[in-house]
Amino acid sequence: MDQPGGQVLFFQQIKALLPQHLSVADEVARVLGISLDSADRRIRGEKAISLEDIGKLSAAYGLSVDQVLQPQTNGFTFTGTLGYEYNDFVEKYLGDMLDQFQFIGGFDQRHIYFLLNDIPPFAYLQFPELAAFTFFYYRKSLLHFDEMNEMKFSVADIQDNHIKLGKKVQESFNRIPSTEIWSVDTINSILRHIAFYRDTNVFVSKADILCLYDRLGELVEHIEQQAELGMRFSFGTTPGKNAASFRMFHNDLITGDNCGLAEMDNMKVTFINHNLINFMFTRNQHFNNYTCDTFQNAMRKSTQISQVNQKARAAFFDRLRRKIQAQKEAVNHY
Amino acid sequence: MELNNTQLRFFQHIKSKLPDHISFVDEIAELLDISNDSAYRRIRADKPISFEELQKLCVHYKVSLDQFMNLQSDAFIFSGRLANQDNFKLNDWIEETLRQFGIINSFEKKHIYFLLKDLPFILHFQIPELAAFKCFVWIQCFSGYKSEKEFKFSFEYPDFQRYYATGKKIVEVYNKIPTTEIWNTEGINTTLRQITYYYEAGGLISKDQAGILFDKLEDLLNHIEKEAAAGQRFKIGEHPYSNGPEYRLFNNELILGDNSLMAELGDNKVTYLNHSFMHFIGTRDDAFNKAMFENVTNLMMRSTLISTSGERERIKFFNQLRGEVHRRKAAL
Repeated sequence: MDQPGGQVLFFQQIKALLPQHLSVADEVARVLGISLDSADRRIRGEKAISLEDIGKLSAAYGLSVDQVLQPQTNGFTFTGTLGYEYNDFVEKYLGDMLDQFQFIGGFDQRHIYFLLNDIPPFAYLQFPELAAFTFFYYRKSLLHFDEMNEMKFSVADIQDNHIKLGKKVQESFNRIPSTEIWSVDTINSILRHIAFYRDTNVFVSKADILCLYDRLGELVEHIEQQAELGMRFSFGTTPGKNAASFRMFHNDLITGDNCGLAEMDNMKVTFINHNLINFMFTRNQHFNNYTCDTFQNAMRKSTQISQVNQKARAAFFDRLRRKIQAQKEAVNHY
Repeated sequence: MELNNTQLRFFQHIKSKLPDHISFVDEIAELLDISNDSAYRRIRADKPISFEELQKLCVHYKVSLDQFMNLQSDAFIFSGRLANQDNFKLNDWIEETLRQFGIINSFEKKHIYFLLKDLPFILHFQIPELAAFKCFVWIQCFSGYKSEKEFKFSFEYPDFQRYYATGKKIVEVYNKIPTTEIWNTEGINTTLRQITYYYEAGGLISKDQAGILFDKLEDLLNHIEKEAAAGQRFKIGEHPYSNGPEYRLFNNELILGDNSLMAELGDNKVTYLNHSFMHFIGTRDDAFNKAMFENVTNLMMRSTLISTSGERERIKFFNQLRGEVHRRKAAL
């Protein structure tokens, strides 16, 4: 038979999807119901894999065969969720996020980059009121669930199970060394959402609005502390000795697009935000290398404000605080 | 030899895509560079096809194995060119943009939905000074970090006329396509920040040049306001012509877009997503486009239409934008 380079690549893709402690040969043998030796011969490309077996393996690992078969430079396969149901949205949304972070966290060498247009949703998860507001906004204004039409928001509407799951996601994220590129407008989205709901009487009380601004202020201060130390840690704690590194850049030249890039050992994955709330990802090497170059380029055009550049960092966070304060004062005049 | 049902079905699926008069065996034999007998054995699933053969067949006949095997992979195929960042040529990008809009315009039934976080990049080509600046920013974003490629801004630098000539053609094509744009008052922030950035940080543009750019940006906003009032696109300095394509402008106070674009091409749709600052990847995936269209429709329902009708809201919206331009100019 032909030299099966594509087949070897197919198994490499499966391997890349497995946590490090699992052996690809064991997994292939288990899914196809064949011996370890037979699995090895297929993995090495010595025996051709049938279409049936391609289907079984792809279904087992959620792998797109198109992605493996059509790696030409102009075609990229992305994978992601297109929609959510009202009842289990938060569980599914956070569950997907947790899966991704735990997967990335399973690699020895790991790093995640974000070019932000909004404050990343997982940053809100350690502040229950902000988390509850974010889920409310997603369901009401991004997913347009009918059930939310007449619903008003109060910080009292926090659901414990969501907060627990959210903290798990945030802690999982905190274990991954990360680099974030912000602009002073990155905070605008949440301020705009609060102001819009304020003007359209979506809040139960004025106290709810003020509470959100207070929590947002705390979040900004916490991010500043992490930037100062160059480490990730949970709000209200101090960084442990194995805390993941955190690099933060300020860039006012480029507006972010919430794009993320995860580096795991020798593999990369790009996450693209679409339809405002959804993320899709690709393992296409060409695309990921390109995204990596984009991030490197963006960082060159940015000012690092974590660990170094105290003056620039202070000025940056001061601008964020002033934006919050201006909105807060608008509430007092409301 | 074990009967391979999926392989049999796979070849039947390909056969169903071919016109009746074509000999299926000849086709497969030629494509895979094998004898007719070998092709027969594969079609009958007597001999398994290799991964490489599978790849050739899928690429040639545009078969999605994910769809064929009903794999629940939630996968969408996007396509797009990735420029070489070491050898980025802006003119190639502008030419490709013209080509893409030309394709959209070639359909009789067409419409573009633009969910914007910045001013539509095309519109800058209506005013040479703004076009010169945006092209300068794009070049800097890609090659500016290589110090030997940095150059000081002027309104007439080498190659600019080439960019501008093609850019004007894009505007002409864009103006022929019925369009719906969803904006937010923050949509001009990027351009404003970029002007300030190159004035303050890089010193690459002078105070006078920055002032001119703010004035020209205001001119552009004034023109877009006129287009919105008329509900039509037309060239700057001209008047709307009868039966011109529809232009709808919405203001969504809650959401800032992401520069994604959906095009209706006859009965099909294509979604283009923005990535890596200025590049786009597109998909014709039905499920993806359906979700995108629902999202755009929902956003329109929750936005204020400020073209044709909604005069008060339109004036307020553009006054806010102009106010922000004035504020930035005064801060120089």
